[in-house]
Amino acid sequence: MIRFRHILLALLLLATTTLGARAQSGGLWLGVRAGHNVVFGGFSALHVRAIQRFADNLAVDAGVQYNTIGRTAVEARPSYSLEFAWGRVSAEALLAFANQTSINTLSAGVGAGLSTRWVGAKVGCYYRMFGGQGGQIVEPLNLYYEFSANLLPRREEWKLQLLATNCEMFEIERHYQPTFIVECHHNPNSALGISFGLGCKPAGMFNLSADYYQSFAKMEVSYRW
Amino acid sequence: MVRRLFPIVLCLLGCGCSQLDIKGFVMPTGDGVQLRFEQSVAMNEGLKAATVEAEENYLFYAAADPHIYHTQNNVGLFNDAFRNDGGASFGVILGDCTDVRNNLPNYLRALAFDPQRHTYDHKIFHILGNHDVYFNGWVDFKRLIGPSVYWFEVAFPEGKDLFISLDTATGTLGRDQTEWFRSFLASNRSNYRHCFILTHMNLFYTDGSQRTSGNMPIEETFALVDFLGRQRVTLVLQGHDHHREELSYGGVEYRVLGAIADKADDPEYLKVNVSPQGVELEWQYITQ
Repeated sequence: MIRFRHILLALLLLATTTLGARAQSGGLWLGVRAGHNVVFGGFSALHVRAIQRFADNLAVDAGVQYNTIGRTAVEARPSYSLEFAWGRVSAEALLAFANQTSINTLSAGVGAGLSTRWVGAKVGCYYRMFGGQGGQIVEPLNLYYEFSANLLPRREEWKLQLLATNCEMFEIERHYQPTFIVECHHNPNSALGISFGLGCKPAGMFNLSADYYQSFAKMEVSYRW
Repeated sequence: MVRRLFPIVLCLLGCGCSQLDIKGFVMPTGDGVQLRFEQSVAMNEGLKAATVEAEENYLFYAAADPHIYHTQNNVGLFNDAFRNDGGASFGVILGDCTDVRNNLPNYLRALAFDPQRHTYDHKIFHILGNHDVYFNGWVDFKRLIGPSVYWFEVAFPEGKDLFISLDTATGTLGRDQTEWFRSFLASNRSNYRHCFILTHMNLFYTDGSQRTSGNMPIEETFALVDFLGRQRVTLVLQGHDHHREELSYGGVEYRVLGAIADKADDPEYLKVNVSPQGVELEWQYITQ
């Protein structure tokens, strides 16, 4: 537990330093989610994220989440992206710490993404190590992914997306455990943004014996500078 | 393109192929874990939990993933060894008893006591696996075998050991099973010397052997593993992965048994020697 606290403090310090650096633009996101899980019952989660751009191509997305199932997660994803007329390609690194009950996890990985007017895909791989209770286990190289489809042509004001992902921020799952989300974003002006989403996470899909596991609603408001 | 693919997808979802229940990828093809648990509780109601009489040191046999389809050679060999071993007290089969529905009678026949060939009519306990629920196979399982969630004890003169069968066939314990398991184990653990958990789905993901086949969601795994450690569970026996795995975590021993199926590369089973000090495991390969 002491080690986890040290890591958490180090990451927050890093994030603060990063945010204080010579940044070009950025934003702050505040999000909540509430839902039902078959194991934990009703749950809710609160997160804060900061995205800071340091150049036209470089950005860091970092934040912290507390979930009432007893999990605290801290995550940072630095990314490099290139814009083209037809869309955007990006590369990112992933670094995440989480603590749930007596178990601490550390995940680290890299991924690449492609985003066009109508569809997007991000694929990467990561290692996860978890420990506590006097034991430690390293999972083998794991796949993470996010596939999205825009139901409206991408515009600055409105966006409606369908997503299948196992790498939501703070919720990194194994490759056979996707979450399905329908999400709507609205930016009333250049500084403010709001998004609302409904999600569902089944269990046992890849065993061909799917069962209900979790559903949730989430909302996020953002302020950009 | 979409017009061509749509009927194919519909056919796959509607029928599946003869072995893989494709529809199960998106929805339960029979009762979900919540209903299976409720039915198991109803089946257990009014019945006394099974008790196996044994000595302080005893032996039981375990095998996983027979996947009975056309043949049942390895399960037959396991059964012969088990039912001719006077030192054994009982056996457990850790799920995926059949590869696909309608093979449960063959599975039970392969594990039956045959007085012509066998000396001991030991009891066998069965655990539900994901293949056992394909094409709504739960209907057969509950009719021919019984509940998927239950417990039994091994009684010896100085005390007793607890065995709990959990239903993880659809990737989660679900709400009521989780509550029951937590409450039952927390309130009864102190009455027993050792505690054994029997489940089909393996909890950890430590190698690439599973490919796409899954475990439980990560947060459920962590909650369960934490609880098992706190309750000083002795041994968790699992199947599903088809590859042996030996792990210790949080003071609990976790073992995944390789498949005993005829199509398995190295079919195996496990002999578990239980004593006051703990357990000793003897892995046995099946040779034709």
